[in-house]
Amino acid sequence: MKILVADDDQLILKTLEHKLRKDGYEVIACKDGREAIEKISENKLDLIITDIMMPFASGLEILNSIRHSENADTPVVILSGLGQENVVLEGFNLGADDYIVKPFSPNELSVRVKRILENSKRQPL
Amino acid sequence: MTLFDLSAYEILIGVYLLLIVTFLVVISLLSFKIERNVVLRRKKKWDTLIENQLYQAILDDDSDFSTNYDTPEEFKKQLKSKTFRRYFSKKIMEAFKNFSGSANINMHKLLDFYGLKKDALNRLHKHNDEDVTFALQEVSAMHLNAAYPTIRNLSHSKSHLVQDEAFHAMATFKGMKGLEFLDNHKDPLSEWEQLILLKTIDRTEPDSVEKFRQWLKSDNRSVVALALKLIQKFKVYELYDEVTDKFYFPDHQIQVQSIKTLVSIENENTGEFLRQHFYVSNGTLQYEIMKAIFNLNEKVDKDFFLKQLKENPSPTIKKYAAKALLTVDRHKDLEMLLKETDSEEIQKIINHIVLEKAL
Repeated sequence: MKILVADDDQLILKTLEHKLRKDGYEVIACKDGREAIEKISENKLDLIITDIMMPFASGLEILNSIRHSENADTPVVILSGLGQENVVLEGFNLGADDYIVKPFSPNELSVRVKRILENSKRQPL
Repeated sequence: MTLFDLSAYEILIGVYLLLIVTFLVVISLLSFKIERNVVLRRKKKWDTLIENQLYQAILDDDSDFSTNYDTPEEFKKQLKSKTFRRYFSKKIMEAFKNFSGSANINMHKLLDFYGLKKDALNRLHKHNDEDVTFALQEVSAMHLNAAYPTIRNLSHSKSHLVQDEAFHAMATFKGMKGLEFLDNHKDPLSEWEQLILLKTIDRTEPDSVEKFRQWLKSDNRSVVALALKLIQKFKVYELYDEVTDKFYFPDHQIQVQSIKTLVSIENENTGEFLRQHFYVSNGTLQYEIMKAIFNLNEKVDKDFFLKQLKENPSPTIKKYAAKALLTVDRHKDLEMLLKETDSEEIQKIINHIVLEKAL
C-alpha cells in the first residue's frame, strides 16, 4: 500500500516515514505542497496524510484538488497544528476522512491509518 | 595635485597599499565564508545526531534511557559542549509541540537521561536575560515543578523580558493560582501579555469569582481589562453587575471590553441597557454598542437598526446598520428605504452593502 506524507517539518516527516515503513507501507515523503501535488499526480496512492500550513500549496488546497480529480476517492488525513473549530470543519467540508491535531501520538495515527485503509477497501466499487 | 605630480616611489607605495587592502578584504570574506560553512556543517551534523536520538524516543515505545543505554560515541563527545546541549534541549522543546502520548513520555526520559532538566534549572540563575528567558520556556515545557519557587522570584525581575516569561510560566504551572501576581501588579500588561495569559488559563478554580471581583477593582487598568476578558472567556454570570459598572470606567478600552463581556454573559436586561446607553455615547462607543446589540441572543430589533441607518450621522454606523438588516434578511425594508429616501448617502450605502453580499 502506498501512502504520501506531506509536512514541512523535517522531524515529523521523517518520523512518519519511519513509522509507516515499519508498519509495512510504501511511503512517499514530500516537504512542501508543490512537491506533494506533483507526486500525487504521478502515483496511484492508497492514502494521503498532509499538514495544512506548507510552502507553495496548503493542505486544504491539496485536498480540494484531489477531490476534483480522477483520484477523488483517495482517503485524506489532515495532520495540523491548527485546531480551531472553523479550520477543522473546513477540512471535513472539503472531504477530509480524518483530522488529527498536533501534538499527536504516532501510535494513534498508525491505528487510524490502518482503520481508514481497511474501511476504504470495504467500500463497494 | 594630480597623479602626474607624484614620484614613481609614491605611486609604488600607493599600489602596495591598495594591494594590501584588497588582500585583507579577500581574506576577511574567505574566513567569513569558511566560518559560515563550518557552522552550517556543524549544525547539520548536530541535527543528524539529535534527530537520531529523537526518532528513537518517538518511535520506539520501549525506549529505555537507563544507565545501561548505549549512547553513540560521537553524541557523547558533543554533549560536552554547552552550545550543543542547549541546541538539543531546544530541539526537544520544539518536538514537544508536535508529539504526544508515549513519544512525549519518552522525550521526557531523554531530558532526564542527558541531564538537560538540570541544565535548564541552572540556567534560571544566569545573569543574561535571554538565557533566563530561554530557561523559563524550557522549565515550562518540561513541567519542572522544582523550578516554581525560582520562577516566582523571577516574576519580580527588573527585566520586562524575564518578568513576562515568568508570568507566563506561573500561569502554565499553576493555572488561575499562577495569576495571583495580579493582586498587587502595578505595571501595565500589554495587549500581547494579556492575550498570552488568557490563552494559557484553561480552567477556573472554586475561588476564581472572588479573584475576578478583586481584579475588577484594581487601580491598574490592564488588570481590569484582563479580568473582563477572563470573565468573558469563562462566562462568569455571577459578575454581571460588576461588569456593567465597568461600562462607566473612565477609559475607552475598558468600556469597549465591558460591552463585549456583557454580551457573553447577557441576561434579559442587557438589550435594554445597551439601547439606553447607545444614545448617550460617543461615535466609537456607539459602534461597539451596536455590534453588541446585534450579537445578543434576543430577536434583532429591526426598527432600531432602520432608525440608525436613516438618522445616525455616522457613516460607519449607517453601514453597520444596513449590514445587520441584510444579515437578518430584511431585504424588503432596505428596498423600501431605497425607494423612499432622497439621501444619496443612504442609497450608496445600501447599494454597496447589497453588492458586497452578492459578491
